[in-house]
Amino acid sequence: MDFPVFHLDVFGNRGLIAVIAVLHVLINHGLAVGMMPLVACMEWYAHRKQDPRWDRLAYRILFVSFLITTTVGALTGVGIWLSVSLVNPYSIGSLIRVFFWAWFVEWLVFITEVCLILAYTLTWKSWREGSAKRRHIQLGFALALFSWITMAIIVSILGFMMDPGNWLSDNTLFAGFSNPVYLPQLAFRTPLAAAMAGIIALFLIPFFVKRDDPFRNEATRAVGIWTLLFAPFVVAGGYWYYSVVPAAMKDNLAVSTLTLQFSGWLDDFLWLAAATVIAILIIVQVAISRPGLLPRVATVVPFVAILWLTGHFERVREFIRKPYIIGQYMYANGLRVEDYALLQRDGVLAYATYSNPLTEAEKAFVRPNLPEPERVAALARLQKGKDVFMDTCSRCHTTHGVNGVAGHLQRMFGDARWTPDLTADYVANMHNAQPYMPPFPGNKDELGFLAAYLEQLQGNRTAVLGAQQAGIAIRAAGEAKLADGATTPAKGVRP
Amino acid sequence: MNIISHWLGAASYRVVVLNIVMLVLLLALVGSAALFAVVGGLCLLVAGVAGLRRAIGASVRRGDGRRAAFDRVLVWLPGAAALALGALGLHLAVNAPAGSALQLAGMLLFGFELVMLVLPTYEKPVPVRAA
Repeated sequence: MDFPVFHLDVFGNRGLIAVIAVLHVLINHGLAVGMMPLVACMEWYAHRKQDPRWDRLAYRILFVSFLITTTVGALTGVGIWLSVSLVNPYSIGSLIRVFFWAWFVEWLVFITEVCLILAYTLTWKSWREGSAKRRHIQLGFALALFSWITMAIIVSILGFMMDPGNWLSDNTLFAGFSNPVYLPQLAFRTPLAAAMAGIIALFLIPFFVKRDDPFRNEATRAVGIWTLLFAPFVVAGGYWYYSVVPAAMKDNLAVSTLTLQFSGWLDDFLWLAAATVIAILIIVQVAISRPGLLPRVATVVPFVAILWLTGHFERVREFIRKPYIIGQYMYANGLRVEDYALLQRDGVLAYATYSNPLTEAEKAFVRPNLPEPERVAALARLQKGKDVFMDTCSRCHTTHGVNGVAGHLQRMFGDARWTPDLTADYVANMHNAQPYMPPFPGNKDELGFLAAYLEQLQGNRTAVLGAQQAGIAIRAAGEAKLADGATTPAKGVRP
Repeated sequence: MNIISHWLGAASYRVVVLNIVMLVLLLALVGSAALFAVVGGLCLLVAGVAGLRRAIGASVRRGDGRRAAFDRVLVWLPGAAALALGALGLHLAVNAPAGSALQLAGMLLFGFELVMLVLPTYEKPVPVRAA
């Protein structure tokens, strides 16, 4: 609670991260990690066969990949950093402390990857003959390797967030890096990226090779083979990955797949996903056995399907680890598990540096005809409730927007008044009823403040602005830190 | 009738597809899971063995060319995939609740994969054109 609270009250903080991160993963897996080896193989094959058609096709696919990865791909990569740092600075802070050197190496590898893709694309037409071409092909495979290494490092951090494993007792980089989910997840993502690249290439071939050119069939068949080759490894890797997901997280599968509202449809969804995978395989089979019969529009189906499945997989992976953001170490609200005893005794506001001023719409909830001392007390109580909400709920929830608390309360309590007693009881026990929700971190007084704040949401639909728009005030705890000249939190309060 | 004959004769795979469609339709109409399992399993076995023979022959004939590795994959992989998915389709057709969407999907998958197994995939590479 040492940072002002960034908050998006309509779209939701999670939505911001989800859009950026999913877009990045689709580009990273489909157009970098999977596509670079495919393009390098095409170039190698063209050189080996002395077939310029493969060379032309490889260059065109590379150029599309180059344009997208170096623009949207690079921007979303930086965008993930920016958005997660804004939304949950505590989790990203903890991850940097554990994975500092891994991230540093990843940055070096990434810079190398950028240099390699620039060199690979820009020298394609000049390094055409003899040894220069061979060097160019080697450059392509080096690019493929570096693309994979960046993913291999980041996947470790994603696995760590799901299950830190031995790191919880042995706080070393190696223990964190070699978490139980790491290798299974890498074994899943590597063939997934390759198969995804094959599907994207199948989609692109009709744009680059005319229908009446017999080479179109040959290219479609070869890329189909590439895709089908990796398919069993995707299934095997996926099974291995699922087998190491902690059992408590598997209980979240329905909600993480379909949200709480539609969680009853899990079986139908899984069948739909399985049918989609089979549809992809069938189209790839036709691409191999009868490429001439495959209409251009048919390649759109696996293209859209793989983007949807991968995007949805990322959503499930992000949600399934709830209530934690770092398994068993930090809750999704950014508070460490081991700090809970302290916070539940003293209250979260005792350690909160900043306050989020009440809006006029929120102040209007307090009756204006109250005697002044009572009115001031009621406003102070509401202010504390808002601060508790912003510090403990707003990382995941909006008020009335996406995943809004008002919507959840409406579903549970309907039009009955959301009295403080009613909502306080629910919040106090919500972790037991819905284990993906973190336990309430504050003390009993703060539970009452929060309940009072939730009550006014029933009649107040005005959006709550984050610190980026509404500004902040310094709380007493923050004043004390400033008076002490402290630039970092007191020892033992925050990690 | 002549139109149908001409249409069927225009492409060899059409007769194969028609035969398999009729077979799966017949098995579906009979409605016996045991019969579907036996006949379907035999079909997969026969098509699998025939495909295996064809694949071995193609591997031997094409094993030493410049496209050797690619050709081998092209010869073996589609058949293996069709066999695996065909078995999955048969499993669903036999074990899913009668009349369910799942059973229908299994029958369709089984029929499609049988077609994939029976039709040879390998074709000669297209000659290289001048740049």
